[in-house]
Amino acid sequence: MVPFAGDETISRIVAEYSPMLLRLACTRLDSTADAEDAVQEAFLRLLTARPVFRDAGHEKAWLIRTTLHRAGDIRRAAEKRNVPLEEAAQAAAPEQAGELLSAVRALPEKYSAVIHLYYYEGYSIKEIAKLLGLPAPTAGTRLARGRERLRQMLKEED
Amino acid sequence: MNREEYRRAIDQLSFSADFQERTAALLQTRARELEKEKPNMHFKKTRKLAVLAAAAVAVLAVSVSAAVLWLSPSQVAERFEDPILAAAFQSEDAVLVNETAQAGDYDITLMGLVSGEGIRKWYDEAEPSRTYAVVSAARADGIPLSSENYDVMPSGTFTISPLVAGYSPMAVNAWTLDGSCASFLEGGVAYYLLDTLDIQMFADRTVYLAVYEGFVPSYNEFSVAEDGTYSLRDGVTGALFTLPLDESLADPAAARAFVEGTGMNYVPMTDGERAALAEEEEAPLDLEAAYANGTYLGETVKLIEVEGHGIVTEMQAQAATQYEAYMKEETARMAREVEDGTLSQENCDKTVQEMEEVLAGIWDGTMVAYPITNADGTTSMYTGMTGAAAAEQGYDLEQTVGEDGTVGITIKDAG
Repeated sequence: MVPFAGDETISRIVAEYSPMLLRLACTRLDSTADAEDAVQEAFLRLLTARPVFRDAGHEKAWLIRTTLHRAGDIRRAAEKRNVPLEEAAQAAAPEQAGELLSAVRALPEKYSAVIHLYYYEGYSIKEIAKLLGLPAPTAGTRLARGRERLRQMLKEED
Repeated sequence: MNREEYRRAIDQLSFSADFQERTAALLQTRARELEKEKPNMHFKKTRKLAVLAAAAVAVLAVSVSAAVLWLSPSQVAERFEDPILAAAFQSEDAVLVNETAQAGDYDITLMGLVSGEGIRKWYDEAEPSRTYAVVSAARADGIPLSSENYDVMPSGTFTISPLVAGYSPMAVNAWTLDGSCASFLEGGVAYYLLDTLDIQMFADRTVYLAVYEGFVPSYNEFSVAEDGTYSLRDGVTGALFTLPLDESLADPAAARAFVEGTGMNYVPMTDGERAALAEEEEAPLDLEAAYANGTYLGETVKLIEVEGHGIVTEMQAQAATQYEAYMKEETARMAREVEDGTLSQENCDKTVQEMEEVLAGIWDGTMVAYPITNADGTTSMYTGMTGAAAAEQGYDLEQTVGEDGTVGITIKDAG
């Protein structure tokens, strides 16, 4: 029932999943500090929710989805604050991202997560479907549509 | 999309050097705090399920004589040799609902509810708070139920499960709520005792107790409206009771943690949203059958795993290998032309980049490439969109049947 309790287990989970989750959170958030917050909150949720995992794959999928939820919450909260642009620029100072990463961040979440898991993490469509709890054809369609939207966005920027 | 360019962009992100150390320390501290908090959660008295005034008046659809014969929730608990639970059902904390609804040939009655910690003899007091519900079923025509005409086993005839408005039936149900159900037949009536994790945490929403023919609840049995409320689908035999919970006992944070902890998609979908998703799912299925490299329907598409590319079709892998060889030859040929001064380096680089994009497209299933023999006997490489990619971009696909009976897909001009 308890997914982890000992210091050693906590360290293992943090070490094993942090790099992947931080990268994933950055597909939704402009600031790496915000991404770190999202991932930390996902880990804390793991501690308090104490979900029962069938296997390591289930554990990873849970963390991925929770991180995406948290990153989405942070992003929406920032958008709702509706800070004037100049003020926001001074306060947030998001890291400079390349054209391609900025375009991925501008995609709807359902596309950006699939794009990232496929192009960076190297998961297959079938694996992505399992991680995100989607039917495989839906994951495939989202990948194709995400790619096409990226193509359009990057073409417009040229 | 260029995979390497994307990887470089992500790899350039810089995170705090001490993130892992800091996070592990934070979690370890929090874990110790949670351990300390645990004892305070024990030995609480049973909490009351407050009765809404309207719900307190039972809607009884049973005859007086039948009602007299029926067991009370407390007596049902006694039949399970559980005096602690029997006493809990007699306490003021219990809610006697006695609401009846007809489900097919049966009258289903939600008799009563009680929630609390340590109120069942075989649960340790350290166990989290749980909710117990007693439900009965009887033939509407008065014919007594027996083992000959009724399967009283849980999910034998009826399944009983809580459902919560605003959460999907897959995320919140008797299975995810660690539920168990015991049952027996007595006096021609079937009795069920369901226990689950305490459902009062959801009390700020509409909480249902569903009694229905079926198994694990899904959208096959229930539809969800835009406001998240549930109803039984036409043709499904069952009853949906609204539980009279006290909203002040709701714990939205615990409810959120619970649904997130299920690992299921907990956002419910209306029929319209499900139809849209099904449409999204079905489109590539048909087109995958016409998988671009072969463009033949009805052929078996063999899937293989290729390192770095995941699951692809065998034809995709063959096409990519063939194209890589072609790229190598072309790149060498162009290098010679650059050397001879007949081709600019810029044009050479541009062509190489285009070929890399085509190769990436072959791997992700959006491009197709194969050699064709020209009229003069020379060979060149044809490249184009796959059927799936063409459909994505709004092109019309036309199905054609060849003389040999093979079925093909032709990409028509965009409308």
